[in-house]
Amino acid sequence: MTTTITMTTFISIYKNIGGFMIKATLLIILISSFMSSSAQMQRFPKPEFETGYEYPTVEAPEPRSTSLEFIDVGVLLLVMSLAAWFALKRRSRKGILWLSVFSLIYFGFYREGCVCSIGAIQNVALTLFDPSYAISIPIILFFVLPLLFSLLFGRVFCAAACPLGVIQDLVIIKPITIPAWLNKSLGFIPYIYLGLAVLMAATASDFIICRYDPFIGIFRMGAEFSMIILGIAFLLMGLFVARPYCRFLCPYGVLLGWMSKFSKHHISITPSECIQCKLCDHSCPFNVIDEPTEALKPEEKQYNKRRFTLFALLIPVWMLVAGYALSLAHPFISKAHPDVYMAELLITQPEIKNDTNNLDVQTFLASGRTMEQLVDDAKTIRTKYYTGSWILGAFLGLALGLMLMNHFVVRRRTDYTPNRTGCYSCGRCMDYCPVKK
Amino acid sequence: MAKKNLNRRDFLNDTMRLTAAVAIGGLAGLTLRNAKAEKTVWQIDPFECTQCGRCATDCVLPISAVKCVHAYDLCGYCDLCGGYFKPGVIDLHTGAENHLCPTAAIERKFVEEPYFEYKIIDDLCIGCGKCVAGCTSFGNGSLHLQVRHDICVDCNDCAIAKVCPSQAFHRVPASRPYMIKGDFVANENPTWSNPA
Amino acid sequence: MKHIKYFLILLALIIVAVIALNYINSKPKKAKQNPFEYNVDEFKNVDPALVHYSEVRQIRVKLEGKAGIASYNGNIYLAANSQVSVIATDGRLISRFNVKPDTRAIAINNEFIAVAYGKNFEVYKHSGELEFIAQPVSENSEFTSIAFWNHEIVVADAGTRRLYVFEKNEMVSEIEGISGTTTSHGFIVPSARFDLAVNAENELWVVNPGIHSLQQYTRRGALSTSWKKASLSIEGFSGCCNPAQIAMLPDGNIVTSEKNIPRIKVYSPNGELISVVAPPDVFGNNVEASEVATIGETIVALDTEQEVIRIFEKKE
Repeated sequence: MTTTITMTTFISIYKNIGGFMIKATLLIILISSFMSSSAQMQRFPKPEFETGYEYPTVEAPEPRSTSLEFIDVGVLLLVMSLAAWFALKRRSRKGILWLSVFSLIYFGFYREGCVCSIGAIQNVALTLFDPSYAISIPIILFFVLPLLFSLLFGRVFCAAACPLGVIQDLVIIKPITIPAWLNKSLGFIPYIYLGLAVLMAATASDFIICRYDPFIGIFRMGAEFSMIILGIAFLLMGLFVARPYCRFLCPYGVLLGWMSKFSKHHISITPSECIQCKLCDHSCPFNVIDEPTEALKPEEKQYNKRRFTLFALLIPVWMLVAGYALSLAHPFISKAHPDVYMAELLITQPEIKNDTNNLDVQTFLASGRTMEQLVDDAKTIRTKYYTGSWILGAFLGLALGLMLMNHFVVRRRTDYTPNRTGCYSCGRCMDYCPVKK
Repeated sequence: MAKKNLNRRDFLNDTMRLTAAVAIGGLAGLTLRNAKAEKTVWQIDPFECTQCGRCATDCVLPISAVKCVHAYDLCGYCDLCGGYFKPGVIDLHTGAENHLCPTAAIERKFVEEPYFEYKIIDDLCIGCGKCVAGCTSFGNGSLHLQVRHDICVDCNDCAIAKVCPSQAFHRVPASRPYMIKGDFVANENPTWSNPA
Repeated sequence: MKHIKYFLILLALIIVAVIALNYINSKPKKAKQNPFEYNVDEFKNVDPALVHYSEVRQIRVKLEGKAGIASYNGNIYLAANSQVSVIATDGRLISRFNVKPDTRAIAINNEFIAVAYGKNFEVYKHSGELEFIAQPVSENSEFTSIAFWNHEIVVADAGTRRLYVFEKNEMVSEIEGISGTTTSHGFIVPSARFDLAVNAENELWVVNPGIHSLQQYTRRGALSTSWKKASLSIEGFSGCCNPAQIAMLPDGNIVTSEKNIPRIKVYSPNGELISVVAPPDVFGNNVEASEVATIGETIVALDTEQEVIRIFEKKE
């Protein structure tokens, strides 16, 4: 059964005589019927061979099976459970150390660092904003489980499961103390990185976390030369600055820090009473042990309280200022998306169309996608970036505001305690603590 | 910690913990809408590929996970194969000077008059797509590039997909991991949106 | 201690530089050339002295699916969109009538118009009245061409790689193209391109596309003459299925149309390249062959990709 539809068909004639063109247009109404044949014919009867030649099979080896991905999730779960047990119950630094070696081998060298929990941020961000992007359940679990564990037991994932973390942890030789101001300032980079990574993933522009993963080249024993340099630079730095990636870049660490701050249980330096021996203070390569604080004088308390209130009130200002500043920068940030970049390149440098060696431009020109379509798409993406950069700015303003505000919160502490946000639960401090029972 | 009556900080902590737990749960719930139990893998749509050569140069692996596959179903078994012979060859023989392939990874075998079989030697193929360009320009297009899943490490963010000028890389379900010409119908094989 | 500090600052700079450079270099503006480029452009260049025709006119058409073209009495007959349209060479629509969908080829003689579909064909009177419907031959049929041959009709079937001769709606004989000699082979049809044409002398010419050969057959199916030209250069045909389309000039010369690197040429009946009608640059990025027909010395080509009928006339 065929359905009949009316089609309007234009037949126009171009007549080229002696350099000028006569154009006549003719309108024909053609009755066209629904086409049942497929547009792209692929199959066709094969040649008939008389010699009994058999068609070879096409090589198509299966990918790693999905069930093995679930086994990876199982291994992650097991490693984190053991790490929590070692950190909180057994109080064994050795246990955590060997567990981290196992993770480095398994998640790092055997699984070659993909997919990791840090990168999973991007998959989650993309799938939230683009429903057509399918995410697999193991990736969701890789994203969610370390956060849950962090909320329950502190950052045991960082201590023993994350291959990026443990490779750095294993090369710490002579950790130095970084000046507090520098430590705080550099510690703000992960917020920017997290914000940008989510923005770029949500707009389907780029997966920057994966792109600048410094250790993937080492896990795979080969990568682009510049990425190998990056990995080596981080490891060399890590000899003196413990876990530089974790502390000053890792975007997932931001999330884990938030969770760990409110964790149900957390590693403690001493199993019972602190004897104020200060041994642990020097044991932590990351400077995340909070020292005991003196009781504040009433006027100091008053001062802090006023400052706290002031900075709390200033938070919306930071958010607005940063949001506005980044919204101004959105045309630049949006160039991370290939369509925006291409549209801008072709508009600002139209002569590049003649560059026959530029593959990207030539492929675009041959693709049949018109300049108008490209510009339209680029505009849509840029609008998303405009909204996104306001949100990103507000987020960064908030993070900055909270950081400044918290500066004036001085908790009364009598003992040496790990800073729950920054502590990786590596267990070095408890190893150093002379109190064992 | 073991105080019976909740002091203010403990209460705040408990509230925050609960909030965080709800946030994680909510986020997980939202992602589960698009979740597939099955994982996805990268694959090249051969009808979109323009043989730019970047599969050979941009894979994170030392030798690319992209290789040429031969869809024998579509091959014309030609004597003068555009994917095998360098342009302008005079004698159709298998001497090295006649090979189009930079690594001589195609094996030519006489089947019967006038048919010849062309087979890709996987160990030599670097996925440059030169033969694909020859085959699509002159022949049936039976030679084409595919991501080989025994080699591919399935990067979350495929380095080739990132630079592919025709956006021919797609995420496909792991149960149908290949897009071999003649074996799939372009609009029936599900491909899922991929980053960039 | 001091050394460590400088060392660390250096490392930090390296890290920033690597990330920044990587970001900048990944952009299309800085993209590398293809080291494995296979440049087919040199095959697109044709010596202008060989081009004896020029494109004088284009007639825009809207096509849905496959289409066929032929000529009769100075007009173009287009079978497309479930219709047969008679179009004058100046683009005027003269008449049209409805046929079935999926038209593949068309042929015209004094009395009738034959329209081939994938698996059968129909014959109409010039008025558009249906004369008869042919019996299908095989489920695997993939008809690609049709022609009137004396009082009979011959169709080329790429699916079964045979020619079928029909007396009215009944198939009376088939031609397998196997002549019994070792130099020849049956029709080698690697894809759905398998054309035939009958010249003014009522001689049947068939393309054997797998071996780049043009062959003339007798009514009994015997090969009477043939020539073959396999070459990547302009003198011959390349790839698996060329020439994809042919047509006959009144003087017996053969018009050939190729796919992949699309071009139209004229050969003498013994295989000598006489002139180039349309070099590849006429067809832009096309890969499909245009179907060709002739009106006297004029050559008409249906470009299904750009949806246009091109008319070529001999240069003065």
